[in-house]
Amino acid sequence: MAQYGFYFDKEKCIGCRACEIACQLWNGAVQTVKWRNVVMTYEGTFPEISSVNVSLACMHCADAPCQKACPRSAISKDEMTGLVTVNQKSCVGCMLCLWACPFGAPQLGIDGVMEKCTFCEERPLSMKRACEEICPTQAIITGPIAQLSEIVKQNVSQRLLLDETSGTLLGHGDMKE
Amino acid sequence: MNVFFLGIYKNLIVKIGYVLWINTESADRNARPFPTGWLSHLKTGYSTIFTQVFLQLPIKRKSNFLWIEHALIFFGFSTLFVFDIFLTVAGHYGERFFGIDYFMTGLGKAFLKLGMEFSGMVLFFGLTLGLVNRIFCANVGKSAFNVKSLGLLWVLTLSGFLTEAFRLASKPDDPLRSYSFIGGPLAENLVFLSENWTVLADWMWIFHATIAVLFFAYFPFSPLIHIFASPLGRCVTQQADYSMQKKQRISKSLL
Repeated sequence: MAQYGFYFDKEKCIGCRACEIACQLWNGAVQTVKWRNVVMTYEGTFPEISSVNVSLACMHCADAPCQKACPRSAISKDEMTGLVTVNQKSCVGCMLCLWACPFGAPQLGIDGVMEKCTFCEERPLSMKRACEEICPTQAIITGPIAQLSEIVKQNVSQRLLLDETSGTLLGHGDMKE
Repeated sequence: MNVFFLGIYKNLIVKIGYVLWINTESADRNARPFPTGWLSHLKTGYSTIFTQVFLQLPIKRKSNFLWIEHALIFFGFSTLFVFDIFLTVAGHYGERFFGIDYFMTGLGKAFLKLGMEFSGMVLFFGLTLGLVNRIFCANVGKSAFNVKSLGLLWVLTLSGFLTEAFRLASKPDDPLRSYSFIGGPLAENLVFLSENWTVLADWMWIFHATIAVLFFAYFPFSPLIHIFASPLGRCVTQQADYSMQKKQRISKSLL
């Protein structure tokens, strides 16, 4: 099994929300709420203030808590790609998956069932996802986790030279280095 | 009932225990999703209970027809369930252990009869609307949703009315007959069809009890599990943009 997922580089994100819009445009036919959100967090007081922009959607976790929390077994993990999807015919909209998800990814759609990132399931895996394709700073990178962890390592080694913080593969164990 | 409790344990209690555990785990990694504790979310969840469970406004926003259908099923089922539990506890157990027969023979029984017939009628009407909508009117993709559990509940409710009608047909001089405003007239129309209503009433009761047992065994494995799971899940997650709060904490931990 090749586990696919997202790598998000917070050092590169400028908070333009292009990824949110691209996600909505590409998945407009099946999406009734935002699957990807850009969150901006500030800490400290002027002039010593630091901020971070984080673009978050479902991280298709290796050991998905939402899947284990669902009382209807409506959330499944694809054996070939490791992608986590919701079967909307089985979902009853109880929101236990949102309660379990560390990223607050699943959202209650207007049909009363949960919706979340499908990893642009209609796109071939060889193509970039909509959010990755639109990102002007390449802050979002998708692909097999093995490949993404190599990118993380490269970023870490480059940034160690500049004494900057490293990257993180959210949802796939403690890969912070 | 063992299957019911096993299903509730497997599909609800274990799941909620897991959710509470996983959130505590996250708290240890500086991404605490409940800064004020999950219990405080439940305490402030009364508005969610009122708007989403009792008024069912999300369904109303979607469609008035679905709202009426769901409200009839919800209020009919829950009221009938409460009356049934009350009859068992105050009626059967009260008479057996404390010698109180008010809810078995007196005006109390008449009140319970009336309430159960009315709530059963409301439930039956809602279930019929739901089945007709799902089988004949809903979109192709959605039409089969919940049909099995609704169908089973529909048969259970119908057999309940028939059980009462058969019982009244076998006991034409029942003093509380006038309180069965559905079972009574039904019995009057059926009484000419057979002479052996006592035996038929027993068989109908066995059929009704069997369907009831099947329904409760199937309940935790059906979409009806949302009756327990949804109020709890929504109380915690539908306040003050819960999802965004979680995202904020993730981003804060990356600072």
